[in-house]
Amino acid sequence: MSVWGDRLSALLASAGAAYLAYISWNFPANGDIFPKFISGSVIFVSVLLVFRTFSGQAIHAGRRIVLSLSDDGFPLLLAAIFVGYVQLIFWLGYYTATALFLPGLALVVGTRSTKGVTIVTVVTLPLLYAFFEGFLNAQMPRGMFF
Amino acid sequence: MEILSYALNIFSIANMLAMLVGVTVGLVIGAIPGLSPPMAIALLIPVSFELPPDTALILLVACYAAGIYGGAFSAILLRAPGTSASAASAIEGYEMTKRGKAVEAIRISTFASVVGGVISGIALMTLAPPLAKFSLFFGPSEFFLVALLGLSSIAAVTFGALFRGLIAGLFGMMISTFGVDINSGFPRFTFGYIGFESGIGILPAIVGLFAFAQGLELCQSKAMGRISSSAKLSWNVWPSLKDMYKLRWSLTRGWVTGLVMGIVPAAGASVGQWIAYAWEVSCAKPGDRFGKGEPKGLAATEGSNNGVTGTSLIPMFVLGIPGGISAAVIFGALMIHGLQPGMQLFTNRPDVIYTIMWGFLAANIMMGLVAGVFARLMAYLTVIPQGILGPLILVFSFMGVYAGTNNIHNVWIMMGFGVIGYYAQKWRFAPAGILLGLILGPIAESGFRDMMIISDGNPIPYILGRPISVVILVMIFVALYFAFKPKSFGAPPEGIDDNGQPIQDKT
Repeated sequence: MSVWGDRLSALLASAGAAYLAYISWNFPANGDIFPKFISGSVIFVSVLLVFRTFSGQAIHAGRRIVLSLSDDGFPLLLAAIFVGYVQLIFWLGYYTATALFLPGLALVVGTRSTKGVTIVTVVTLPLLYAFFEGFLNAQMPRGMFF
Repeated sequence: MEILSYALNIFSIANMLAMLVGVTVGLVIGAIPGLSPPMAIALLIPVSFELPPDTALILLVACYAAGIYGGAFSAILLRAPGTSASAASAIEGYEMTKRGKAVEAIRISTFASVVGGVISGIALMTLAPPLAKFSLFFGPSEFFLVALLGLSSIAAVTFGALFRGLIAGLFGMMISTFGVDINSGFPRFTFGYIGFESGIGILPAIVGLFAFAQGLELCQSKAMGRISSSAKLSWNVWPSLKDMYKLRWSLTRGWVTGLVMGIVPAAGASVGQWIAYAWEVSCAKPGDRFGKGEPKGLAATEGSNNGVTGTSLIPMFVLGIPGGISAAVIFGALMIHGLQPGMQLFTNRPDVIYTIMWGFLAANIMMGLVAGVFARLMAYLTVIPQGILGPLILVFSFMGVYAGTNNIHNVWIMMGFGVIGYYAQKWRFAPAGILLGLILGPIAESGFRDMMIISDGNPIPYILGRPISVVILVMIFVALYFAFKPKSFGAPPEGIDDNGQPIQDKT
């Protein structure tokens, strides 16, 4: 990681640990001891991390920060699509929502094999349902359809 | 020998069938991310009601052993460990798969698991009473220090990013404190979200950090590319003895770690595998490529997690203290069948207890035979295009967590961990460290709090006054020494990543 990547990580980790230690201050029945111990440890390790950026410049030489919205933001977009799928499954039902999501996402990420996507969807959907609902007696999400 | 006289009992049709069913269910459920061996055992308990106690318990212990082994398939082939006990195997196993060595990795896993399980079964039969007595000497300071020892093994999984790995581990320990405090009933760090009230479960965390994050990774990769560079797979899942001879010390270290960690209550396979891996990395030689598909690392982790299975039953059978979650579920089944754990189990019902132990031993051998068919089918997953496999893993992650917990909040928590796991992996914050911290957190906190009370807020003299604590403390210092010691192996030259490309960190 770059020099500033490590320093930024240390700063954010320390700030987060200090905040959690502050929240834990009034936990009753010694419930605050362990969170404070962990917060202190995080701050200690973060300080060591910052020190290392000064003492070990060579480790970071040649490394640079590259932030790419298309690369780094894509997983967040996928997660957002998945949130939509989870909401949809409780509205439309398992079969309908998954039959839309599975091939839809496969095509969105660039799969060009329509035949492969169709086979996987047709085979997987009933298998998953049979396994969870039939064999494990798990309660699968239900919706308007099935 | 009284023990030997019960060996023939396992060859009854009912016992053999129970073993086969237990092994098959354990392998399938263990291989599915989100479905754990305790869940598989719990599912089989109602089935076991109608069976005699020895047959019922053989069914459950067979399922337990196979469940731990089954988790390795998805860890090796998809980097989505089926169980928390296989998380460390994903590191080297998946790297081997990417290099087209999926079947070789499965062969190592099969040998290490089957032999580890058999050794553990022998230890269960022969060492149960004397070894179980040892765990009686474990007090709060020992539990706390064992957790710290586990945390120090994070050093092994961070590959030159020790401080970031430790921060990840401590982050995991911190989030293990989320939820209602069992001592006071006070909700801690819930931030007003009801999903945090019951704490962060291991199941959504492991599925999120490994399976969901892996699904995101595959969705972003080349859609028509494949995980494995090899499209041709062998039927043979058994390695040659010559290959295993080369790994003999790694396997031995893994088995020994597993045997010892199994006896420590609450430590189990989840902790043992990391300690075995850390030990293995500390013994690395120039030329070893840990983190890039080193068979030695896989042999150690796979040896340790199945080495745990037998010995984790020792404290349960002898003292009524389960060595892990699976052992706790089996403990419940034991009670349901009217068997009271303790020394009287060995004196009043030796026919039952020793038949169960022989059944466990035989189940490990059967596991290796069933795996021959199962592994080949699973290995085909690696030749499915990533653009199809990625969305499939995302759906499976959802189904596994929802079916496993029946709680939508756990699905959101799993997704949160998935996103964290993706970026943690990308920026080398060791997702495995977060999981390890989460597993060790409750053990560490309980030990830490009790130790502070017993020592009247002065823990150092208390620790130094307990010989077992001092031994564990020395082990922690040794682990940290190896973590900080400059390594000449494995690490690529500065500024160059594992693939020989210039590093461009994205922070």
